[in-house]
Amino acid sequence: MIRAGAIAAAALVVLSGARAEAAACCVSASAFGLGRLAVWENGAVLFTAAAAPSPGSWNEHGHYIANPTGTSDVELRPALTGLIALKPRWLLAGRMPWVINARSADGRSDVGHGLGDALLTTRVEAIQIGEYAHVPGVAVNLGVTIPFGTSMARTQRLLATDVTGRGAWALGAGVTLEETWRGTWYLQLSLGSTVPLPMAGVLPGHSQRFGPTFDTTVAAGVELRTGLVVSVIARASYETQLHVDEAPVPDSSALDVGVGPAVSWRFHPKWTVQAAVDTGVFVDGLGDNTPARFTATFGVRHAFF
Amino acid sequence: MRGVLTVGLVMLAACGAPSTSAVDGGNVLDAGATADGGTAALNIEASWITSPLKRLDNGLEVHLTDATGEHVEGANVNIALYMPAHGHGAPAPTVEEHEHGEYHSHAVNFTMAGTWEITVTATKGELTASHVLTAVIP
Repeated sequence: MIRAGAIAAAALVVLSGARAEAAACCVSASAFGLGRLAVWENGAVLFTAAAAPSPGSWNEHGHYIANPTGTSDVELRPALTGLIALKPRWLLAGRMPWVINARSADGRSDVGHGLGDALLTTRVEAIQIGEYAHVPGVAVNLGVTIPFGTSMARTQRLLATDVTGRGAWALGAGVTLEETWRGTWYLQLSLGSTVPLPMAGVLPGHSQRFGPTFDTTVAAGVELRTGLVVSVIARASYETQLHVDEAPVPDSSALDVGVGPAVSWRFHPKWTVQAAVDTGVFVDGLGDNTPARFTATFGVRHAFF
Repeated sequence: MRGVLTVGLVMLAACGAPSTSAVDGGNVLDAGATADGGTAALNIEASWITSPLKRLDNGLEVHLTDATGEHVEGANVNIALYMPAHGHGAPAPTVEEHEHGEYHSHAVNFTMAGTWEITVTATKGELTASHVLTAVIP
């Protein structure tokens, strides 16, 4: 029972987290949660590669607008994630992405790349899965986003292909509840919030601050046979209004919703391959003020124990 | 023939509030003009050359006159782009001066689709005036 949930959770959170980083405008950041270790693991290293074409965007009134003919936008995001157990219930995790943007518009094309924003998180398991009968596992996550990436304010490229980060430090906190049934089924609920810190230099003479973001992710899955877990993930992220000089900017809040399947296969005691798809629903109202993305992620995880 | 899409006329003295006008993909939403009550000293008239507006290589024409209607030459004209809903700008377009108080940019580039504010600022000596246009880029 524990094994199925552990493998699934480790696969899910990192893969769905990769999608979350590409959400909202120009690389947002959810500063909590990078997955977890199974109870027998001392640490793990995970390499993921995500490809996220954008077929359009939602404007600030929630209307979905497909890209005009000749316009394309694809984000590629390889990332390295490390997790280490500091104590049996306490782990430290970090992720470092590399962001590649390929865009075309009006007969011009450009490709840019660079270091993305790093994420450093810690997770404390208040209640481990299976510790008490009929009580879900409960974990608290805290994190910080380190803005290594190039922000929109510093772009020098025609199509902003050099934008790889958001330009703001952010602090995050969240809680994850997870329950398993009959040794094969699991359900995971993650709730969290990320608070970006103020930025200077975007508007000369003014201070700017992105609004706090509230994230919800629900994942459910089943272990079909030993080591093979199939899941469905649904997520929603709401970013509150941007503030300039502490005054809210109208129509600057954002909503990003996605759903998709994920699969994780532990083909060796120390090796797991993972794959996930995340897509928005490209209709009016199921997004707001954010690019639309279809994200496919593939990952390889190596555990240490 | 050059298509003039929006004309924003502003008459402002130094430190005056900017006027605004708006374009939605080439369609005029509101072309407003404001004055500062008769103390105007530097006037900005801004017109889109490109129709409809697109992501790249949009043309913007700026015409400067003084309070008597004479062309103002040798001014410093800047164009700043900002996307309020996303909280970011884009690289500032280059501006070339032509004859008779005309200033042109043929490289107003929007890094992404959405609603943008385009602020034209002109400075001549101690006089400064600005004009804000709004455009929705598909």
